[in-house]
Amino acid sequence: MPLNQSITTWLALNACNDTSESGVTDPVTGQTMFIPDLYAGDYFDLTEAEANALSYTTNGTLHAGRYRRVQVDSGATAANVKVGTVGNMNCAIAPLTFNIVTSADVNTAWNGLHPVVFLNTVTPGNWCFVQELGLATVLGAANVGTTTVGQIEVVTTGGVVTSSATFTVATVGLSVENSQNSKLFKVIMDVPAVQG
Amino acid sequence: MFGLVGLIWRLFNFLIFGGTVWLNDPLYTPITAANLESVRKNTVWDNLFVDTPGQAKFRRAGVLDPYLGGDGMREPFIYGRPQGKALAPGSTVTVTRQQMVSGLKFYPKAYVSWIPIDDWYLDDGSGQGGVINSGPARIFDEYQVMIKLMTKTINTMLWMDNFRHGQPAGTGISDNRIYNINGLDESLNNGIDPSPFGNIYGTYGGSTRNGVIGAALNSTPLWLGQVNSGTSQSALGASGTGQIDVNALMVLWSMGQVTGGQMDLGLTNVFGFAAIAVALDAQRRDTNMKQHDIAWKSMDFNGVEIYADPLAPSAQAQNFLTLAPTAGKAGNNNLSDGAGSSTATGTITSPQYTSGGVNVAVSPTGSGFPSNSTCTVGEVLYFLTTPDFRTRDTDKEGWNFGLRRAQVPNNVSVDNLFERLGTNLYTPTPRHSAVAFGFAR
Repeated sequence: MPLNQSITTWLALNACNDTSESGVTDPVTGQTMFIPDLYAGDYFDLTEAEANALSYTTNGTLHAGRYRRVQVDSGATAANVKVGTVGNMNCAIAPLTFNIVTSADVNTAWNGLHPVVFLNTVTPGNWCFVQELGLATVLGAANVGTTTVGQIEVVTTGGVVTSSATFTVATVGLSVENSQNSKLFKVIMDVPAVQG
Repeated sequence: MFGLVGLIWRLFNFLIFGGTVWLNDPLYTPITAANLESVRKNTVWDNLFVDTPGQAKFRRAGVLDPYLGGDGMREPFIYGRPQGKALAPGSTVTVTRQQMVSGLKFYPKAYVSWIPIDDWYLDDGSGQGGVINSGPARIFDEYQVMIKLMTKTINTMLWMDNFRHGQPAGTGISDNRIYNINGLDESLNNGIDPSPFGNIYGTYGGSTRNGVIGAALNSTPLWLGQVNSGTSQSALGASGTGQIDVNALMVLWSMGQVTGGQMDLGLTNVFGFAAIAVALDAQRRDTNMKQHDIAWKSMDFNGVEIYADPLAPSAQAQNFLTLAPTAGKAGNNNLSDGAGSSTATGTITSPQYTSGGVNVAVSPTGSGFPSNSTCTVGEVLYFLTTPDFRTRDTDKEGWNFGLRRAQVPNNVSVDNLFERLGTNLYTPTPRHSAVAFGFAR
């Protein structure tokens, strides 16, 4: 699915926990209603103002970056799919797709593979938007400590991030504000851009 | 017995099919299979937008002055006079000439509302699309509703922006609003005292206030709150809201009247209106309330018709209207100005005033502001001379609430629809109007 700068999101990007990829489900049959222009893998870039305007502020304010419509794999750990945790693609699915993601704990060997930041709590099996590039808000580990701006942040147990002295395959990005234990803070995502 | 069999059958289904099949098998209940919902066709209730008496009054005042094109909008104005005096007949004088006129310059500002539309779902009236939203099963034409809501969105942005400003951030101005119209916050200011949104505008229409042109473009804000000055910007006092009364209204009226203004329109939020009505009623004043017990359309005060405008600045309205930037769940179920903000008021900081180079505790302009104080704005009241205002909508159809429909080249059914307006709203004579704030209900 191409970069799509014309898209219907229905709700704020960080308030979607949909049972269908189009965001509209028939209340009687439970089937997906295909209202054009919202499909799995739609990704798009937003300015800071656009991202702010598409935020449900109860779940935080979104920032400039790239967002993608994905399904959270039904095998993901629900407790680890919430505001600021990091997930990754599910490499056990054939054919491989960037558009089904899972929580970081499912297989730590996948942690550096298309890492994405969850924007809100999502029921495994449901659809949502995730952030994959730009200025993202991540959740610090319980022992991340108070670090300064510019730290390398890597994903660790449960999808939270912690600081690292070196770039690793699990690197999510560089911090742009001080981290605190179990608190949300911003990073500039430093991961490969993907298409499809 | 029948119930027990049914229970066993349901339990069997639950165990075999995971508890999901029997919920929808049969798919429809007898009631839903046999009955449609009771719904009135072509009726959609508006639970978001509000109408504003201010816009209606402006239209009736004939403030529309179509912008026909050109390098911005020039408004020449007089700020000086020739020399003259009483003297003895036969005297000789040195005849001099100084500049007496200059001009204001404003630029057209672009307002756009957009939405993607797909002709699989919607029909644009051509009958070519709308596979879903068509036929006798359609309750309302969602395309028409979308068009209407785009217009309402632009109107809401415009009217909220009418109470804000359109200048870049800089000295005295904390927020950048260069894409927005040049509203009342900057026009009704004197370059010395803060506006209801905390800015001090040293220029208006590009002309510098209090310089060569003097006070020609000044309108002094009137502070009605407490006067508790601080000793410095790092030791601020706290000045809460005060009371509005006949004295305050007379002072505000006088400030516009003394410059030759013929103020005819008062605008305040519904809660400001309530504060005025309650205050005047407590003083047993005749406020000439029209249709007192039927509808509070307006109050007359010295020929000024005061209207309750839901979008006018207010501290209290945000408790009842969903105002940006407090986004709703969908990120769009709030009322927003053209910068993603709103007209909700908060606190502002007054500067250190000086007079003759010496620090003073109260503004020397007659505004009533204390020095170095955190002032709670509360409600805001504008007295306006409406014939002085100019609404400069372009006469070009495509940008006068015109639609631009752009195809998404690689999409089989989606187009982007843009509703657009080029306009500005300003007054060449700010001194004929005035603003007061710092009061509460």
